[in-house]
Amino acid sequence: MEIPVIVVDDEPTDRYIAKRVLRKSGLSEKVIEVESGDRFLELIDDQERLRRECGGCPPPTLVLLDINMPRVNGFDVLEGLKKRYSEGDQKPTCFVVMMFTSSGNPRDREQALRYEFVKDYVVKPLDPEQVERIATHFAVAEKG
Amino acid sequence: MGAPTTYVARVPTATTPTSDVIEKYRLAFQVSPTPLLLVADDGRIVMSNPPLEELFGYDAGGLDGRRVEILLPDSVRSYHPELRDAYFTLPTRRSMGTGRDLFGKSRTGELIPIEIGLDPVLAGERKFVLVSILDISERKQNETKIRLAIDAAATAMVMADRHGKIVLTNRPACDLFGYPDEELIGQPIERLIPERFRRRHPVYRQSYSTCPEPRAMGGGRALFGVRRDGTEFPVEIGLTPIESHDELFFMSTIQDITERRKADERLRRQNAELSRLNEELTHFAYSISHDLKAPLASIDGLLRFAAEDLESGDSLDARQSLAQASRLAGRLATRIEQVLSIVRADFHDESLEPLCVEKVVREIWADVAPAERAEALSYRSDTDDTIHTVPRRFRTIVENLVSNAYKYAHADRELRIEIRAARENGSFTIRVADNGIGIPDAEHENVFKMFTRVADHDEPGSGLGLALVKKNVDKLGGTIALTSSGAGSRFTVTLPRTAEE
Repeated sequence: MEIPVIVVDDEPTDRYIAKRVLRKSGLSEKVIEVESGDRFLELIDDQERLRRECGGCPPPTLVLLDINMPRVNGFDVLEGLKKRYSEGDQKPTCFVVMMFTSSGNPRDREQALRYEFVKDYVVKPLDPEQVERIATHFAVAEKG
Repeated sequence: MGAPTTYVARVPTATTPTSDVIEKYRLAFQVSPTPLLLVADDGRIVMSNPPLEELFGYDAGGLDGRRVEILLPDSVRSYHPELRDAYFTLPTRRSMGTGRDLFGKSRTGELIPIEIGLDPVLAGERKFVLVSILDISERKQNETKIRLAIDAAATAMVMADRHGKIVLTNRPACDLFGYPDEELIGQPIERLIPERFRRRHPVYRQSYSTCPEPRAMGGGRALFGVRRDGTEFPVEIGLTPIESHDELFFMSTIQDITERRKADERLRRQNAELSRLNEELTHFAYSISHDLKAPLASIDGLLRFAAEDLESGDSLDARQSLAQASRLAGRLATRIEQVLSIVRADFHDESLEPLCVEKVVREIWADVAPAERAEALSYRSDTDDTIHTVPRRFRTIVENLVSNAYKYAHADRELRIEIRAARENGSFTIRVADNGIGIPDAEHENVFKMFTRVADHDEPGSGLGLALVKKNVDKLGGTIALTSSGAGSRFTVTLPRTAEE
């Protein structure tokens, strides 16, 4: 079953890299590129569009989320997601969020992993070992 | 100062013949160790004794028949006869000039500090006065020594009695509180305290006098003194009880701590500034490492792709990845250059040079935009646009504003950049207005901070350009303002008139 992956990153090169790694490793062909935090929040609020973008694929959806982005950064997005989760009634889809960042700062890592829907913290660039980890999360997400 | 011990004569009756009385005194005069004079009511000296003659430098009997004013300082001489007459209308036994410093004048013109006792003598129709004199030169010398010593002290000293009345001040105290010498003597000590503390002070004073011991006043409270002109200043006060002749006095040593307060304040501000800088530096180091690491990570990723592609013989893909990596490396180099500029911005040579603003703008635009876009920028000046400034700073400002305007052009609009130079009240203003994508209101405050990026762009910004502009504007003593809407942005840089202008 194809699981859609959303890559949220303002740097086109990094979106390209993520997309290619995910494809080449045979993890997912369905990669949706989102170039900013605010656009991502807009997207998940618009279920109609999200389903369309996912090409009719069912949830769960995996999100690779950058931290350092203009205006609405990765942490702002996590806050936005938390708010949506806690409001409950319109739970968007079952997201599995993985931080995908060049920041190796332990503080950033700790802050991100405090959110229950953040399952991992991956430091750029993607390497085969990290792709393995992503695959594990996929498996878990598929079961869930 | 009490009256000196005097030789007390038996007061003769009015019927005694005058010469008899005088003769009786003559013997006593000869043996008395105290300088004595007998003066008649017309002011003439009838008799003087050896100690007096010695004190004033006259030969034996040399004063007989002279007016008593010969023994007085010039300043007193003219009005003394009047005082003398007044005395003889109601002669009493008393000391002269209570509370004032009295002087006699020796034959050689030397002033001698003295105390004088007066005793009326009636002899028949005539009135006389027996004058006894105490030479207080030595005491005065000692007093002067002590006076000089306390005046020479570095701290202000004010001594008060147990009722809070000031009995002694030194020079520094008078200077500190702005009073002429002696004006404070006899005044309540509360006069030196600001109005708002005055009411409470007598209470503090009384509780202190119940267990007086040397200590600092105020128990940690901030203390203030008030000058004669009403201005206040912070003080530190030491208290010492002094017991003298069974009387209790309180000596306060007062220190003006205005300067120390200022220094403390300066230190506190410097500390705050340092910890702010430290925080900024931490943030800077963190952001820098992150910002420089991000493109490196991407380059790393792309190089791995290229390697994979080459292995699988996919040279077209490999070439694409390599081109991409090279582009990122270029961007990284620019970013490092910008970081260095920011760091270096603190250490520019600050010498001013004349600069033609239009020339600078044109040169920069030629570097930023390709030749076919040259027309997109227009320049207008309402003034002679030669300014005296630090060339490097001014260039950096214009360069970043112009390249931002170019970079963040609106996709649907033909780019227009309008630059206008003007002079107002001596300040030089350069305005860079564009019709680009604009900056959201919420970001106006942050946009000049380091590592703040606000725009989505194919070539993400470094978040350093406007920070660099701000830093250079600050260094030139100017200001920068931003107005922006969906229709574009307008930056206005105002620089103060420099000495050369």
